Amino acid sequence: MATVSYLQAIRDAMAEEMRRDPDVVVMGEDVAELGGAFLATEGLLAEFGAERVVDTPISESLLVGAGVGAAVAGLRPIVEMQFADFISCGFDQVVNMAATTRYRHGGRAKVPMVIRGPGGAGVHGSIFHSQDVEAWFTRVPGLKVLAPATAYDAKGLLKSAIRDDDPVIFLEHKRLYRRVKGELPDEDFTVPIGRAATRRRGGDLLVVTYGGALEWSLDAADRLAREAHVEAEVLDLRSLLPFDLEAVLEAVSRINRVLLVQEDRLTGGVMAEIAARIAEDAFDQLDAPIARVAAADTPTPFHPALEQFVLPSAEKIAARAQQLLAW
Amino acid sequence: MERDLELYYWLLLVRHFERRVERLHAKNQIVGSVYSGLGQEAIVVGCTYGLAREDVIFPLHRDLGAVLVKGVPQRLLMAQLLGKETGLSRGKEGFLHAGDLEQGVFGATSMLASTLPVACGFAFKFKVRRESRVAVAFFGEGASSRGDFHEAANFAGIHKLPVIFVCENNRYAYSTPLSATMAIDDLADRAAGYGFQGLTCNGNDLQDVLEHMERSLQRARDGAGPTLLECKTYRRLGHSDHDRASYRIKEEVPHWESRDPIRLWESYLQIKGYDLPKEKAALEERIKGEIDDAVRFAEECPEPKPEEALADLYATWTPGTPSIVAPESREQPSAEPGQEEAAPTLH
Amino acid sequence: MALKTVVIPQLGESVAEATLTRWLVSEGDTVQRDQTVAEVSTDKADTELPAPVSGRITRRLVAEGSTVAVETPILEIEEEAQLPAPSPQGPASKPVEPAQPSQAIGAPQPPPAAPRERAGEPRSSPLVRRIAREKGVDLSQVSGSGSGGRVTKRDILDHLATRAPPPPIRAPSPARPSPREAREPSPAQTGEYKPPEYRPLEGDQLVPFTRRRRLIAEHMAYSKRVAPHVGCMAEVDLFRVELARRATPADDRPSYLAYVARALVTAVRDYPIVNATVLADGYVIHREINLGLAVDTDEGLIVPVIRHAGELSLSGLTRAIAAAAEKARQGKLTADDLAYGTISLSNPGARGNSWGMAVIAQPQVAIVRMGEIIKRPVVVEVGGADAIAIHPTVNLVLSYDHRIVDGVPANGFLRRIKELLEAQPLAE
Repeated sequence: MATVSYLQAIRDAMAEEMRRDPDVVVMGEDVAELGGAFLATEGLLAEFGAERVVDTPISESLLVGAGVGAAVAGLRPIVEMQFADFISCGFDQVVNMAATTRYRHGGRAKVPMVIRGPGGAGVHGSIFHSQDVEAWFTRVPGLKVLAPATAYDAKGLLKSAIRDDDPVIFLEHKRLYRRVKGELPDEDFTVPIGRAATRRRGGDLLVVTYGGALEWSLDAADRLAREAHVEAEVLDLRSLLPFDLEAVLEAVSRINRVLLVQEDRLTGGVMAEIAARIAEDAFDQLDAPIARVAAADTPTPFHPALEQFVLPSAEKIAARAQQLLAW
Repeated sequence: MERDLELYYWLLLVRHFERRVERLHAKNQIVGSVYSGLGQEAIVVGCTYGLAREDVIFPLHRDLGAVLVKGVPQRLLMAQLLGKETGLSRGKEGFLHAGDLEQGVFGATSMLASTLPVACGFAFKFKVRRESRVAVAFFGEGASSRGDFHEAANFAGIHKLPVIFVCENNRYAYSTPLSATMAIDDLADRAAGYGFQGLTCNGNDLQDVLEHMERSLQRARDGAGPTLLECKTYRRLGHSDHDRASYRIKEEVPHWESRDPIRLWESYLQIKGYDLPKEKAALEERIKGEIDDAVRFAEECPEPKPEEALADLYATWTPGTPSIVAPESREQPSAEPGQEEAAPTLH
Repeated sequence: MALKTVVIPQLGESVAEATLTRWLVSEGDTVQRDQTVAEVSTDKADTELPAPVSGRITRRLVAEGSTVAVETPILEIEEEAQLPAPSPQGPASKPVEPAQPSQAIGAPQPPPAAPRERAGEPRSSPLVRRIAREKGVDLSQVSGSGSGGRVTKRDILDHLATRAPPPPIRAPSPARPSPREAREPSPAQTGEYKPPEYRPLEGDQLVPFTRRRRLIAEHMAYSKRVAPHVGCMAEVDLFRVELARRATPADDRPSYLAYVARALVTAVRDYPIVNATVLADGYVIHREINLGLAVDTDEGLIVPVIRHAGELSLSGLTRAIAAAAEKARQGKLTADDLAYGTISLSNPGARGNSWGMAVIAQPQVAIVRMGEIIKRPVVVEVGGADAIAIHPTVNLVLSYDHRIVDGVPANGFLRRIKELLEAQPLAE
């Protein structure tokens, strides 16, 4: 066991998979010499050489498209987006090319690629370095979308993504890179795609969340326990497409009051779909309306006070939970 | 068969096959749109003929001929066009966007030039794995305005990738003429900006296309890098079957019809001493038989089941099923490590 | 005497006048506060005028059909406070004039004084309504602690906990009642649901309940109501059972049912909780195993009991099963043959389909139902490699009473049966 940061876990996952499988290559802007803007690929060039760790021009569409080509041709490319925001420049290649290639070829092609990069707000990155982009992709059939919130998941899910034969959008959270640490086993492990994890047990309120909102949700749950003697259960989706509907419904059937928390903007977010599924499949398990806490429907503003104002927080989650419990 | 006649066969096959496709479309046996490559046969034949099976082509909507020459069986292609269960995409796509990777054909999307970055990805793999294979991506002069062309060309130049960008400059991007989409005369000039060779050839002259393609291929296989091969030609019909192309300049049409690539090849054969009427009759009879057989085969193939729509989205998950975990971890959920993990350590 | 004057209200920002279209009260009428006294119409809308106070109408000031300006007085009411309060002894002193209920055509009667919630159910959540439906709770009897008096999950669970428990299953001594004696309210009495009135149609066949059918119906409904049934299924490979049967001479070859019965009673030893009886304030785990065997007869389902099944060998069970079945078919079962069951096994035979979930025979807590025994492809290991074989198989479904049996022992019990059947030879 070793204490490893979320960022280190990602770096280790890539390095270990590259050692394990010579088909794994890394491509992206500044990933080789510099080791990436956040140093997620630091050291890979030295160990694996320039043919497996490739700096590309600022060409996100090329980057994703070439990733698809290399993947179909037999490699397992990991494509780094310097910021998840920049994936918008390669959007066509993600949703029209990567996601449909297998379908177009009648199941006779596979696209084992990972598109990974840091998303998320809370670091004063302002409008173009703070976006949570998951909901752009969770409605694209053909893609898988992952959003780890712990160091363990960051490593285990990234390894699963690299070994997976489908295109995976792997959304890291830059706020967690160095803040979040975990005790990780020394031996090889993976975390299965499509399975949620219970982070805290409780019977009064179910909080479903993922990614950057997990630590706020856990803080809020602790606060509720301390101040209101309310025990909230916290379920971390970690996999957003496919998501673990079974786990959500199982928890709803036990707990009956549901608060959905995401860092992303409210409208059309991941939790909108979770809410709809709960309403469809577990309506008569609900003891109160489904509630959501999410960011305001605005870009992420620059000034810390403005940013704080639009983002969820432990306080906002706890307050909404109290309202929900009083319903 | 002698090479000259074999090439003649391919030219005729492409033309007759496309004509048959148009007729089937008129009878509503092929739904959606069809895009004619009439007058551009020398390009698809000339750029595909010399390829090995391991090489990969990236055709666009007007390049049905390239798919035939690359080796996709006529029966399979016809089944694909008719949307049959046996087709390349089992009914999920029309001709335009399905590929056959077994024959080295990658399917396109409707976003023109989007296959060029993908071709670079293939070529990158060929290069780092020291494979003597080449990626050949087709696109039109219209598509060359897209960023994907420029991003792909730039990347290919940097890494000297074994890729050939074949531009079919047919003078129209749907209705927009060449003069309104580029400020240069030869699209091949753009290659210089990316550090590799740009060639221009007569796209209606099979011999010329073949020679230029051979040079480009040699360069790619030698590791000398990519080529932008511009084949100048003319789109003889509308953009698609539903376009009457009334925007064209009237005089252009007879001008280019008189430069028909098949007639040009026939005059070459005659000059070389072939008995053209005899050869032509024999080939056309053979081709008719082959296409009849392909159509009959495709017609007899079953339609895909409606639920086929849900298949082939993922390699490792069927939507609607609970999750995609490996069977062993499914059986023992308690052994799943993430579940046991405590809350993340925060500080 | 305080007189209250009713005026035409301001019925909209731009409304200056209104037409009194209809009086709903007469002079001398007693009205309740908020009772509609008149209908008023403007060019924008029609509306009803409520009485501002309770009291007696002393004077109508305008005629029906007249159009008057906003703020015009139209009615005088003598306030109720001036009226003597009714004395506890009865209607002693009356108002000056007898209070006549309004006789105006179409006049709505004053709403009952009771709070609105009394009229219907209080507000609640989907979960609460489901629980109410399942447990037969009248929500109007539950006090709500949620916002606006809403009944929450906790409220209804508290209500259920304090409500009189369902009629208890009587204590086992001196003799446990047979299912037939467990008389309970008929299914129709258990909930709010009333079947729609039956309208005879040509060709319909009306079948009156026989005594046995009624008993069965009552028992089934009772069991489903009191016992939260949970099911789990095991796919059992009978290949080794089949080998053992073939090794036995055809004459005394045990039936598959006997093998399953034998495995079941053996597994009970490891999971005694499934061999139990529920009482009002607890439950009994029995030492002896009396195995009820659900048998289909012409007159319906019947469950003869094999006493001390835990002490019988495979051949002993075979004989006991044959004897019970024969008695059932001949209609010779006595009340004693049907009593004292502690756990049940149902075998619908060749027509049992793939699987099914049986209803627990009260007051037992578990029943195992066999599906049809058919050949299925199963994965076996041959020399370390997986292979597909064609084996006789059966699906066993355990229904258990979640009041006292938890998932872990229930799953373990069924799993154990499967293990025993798949690991021959089965201990005699």
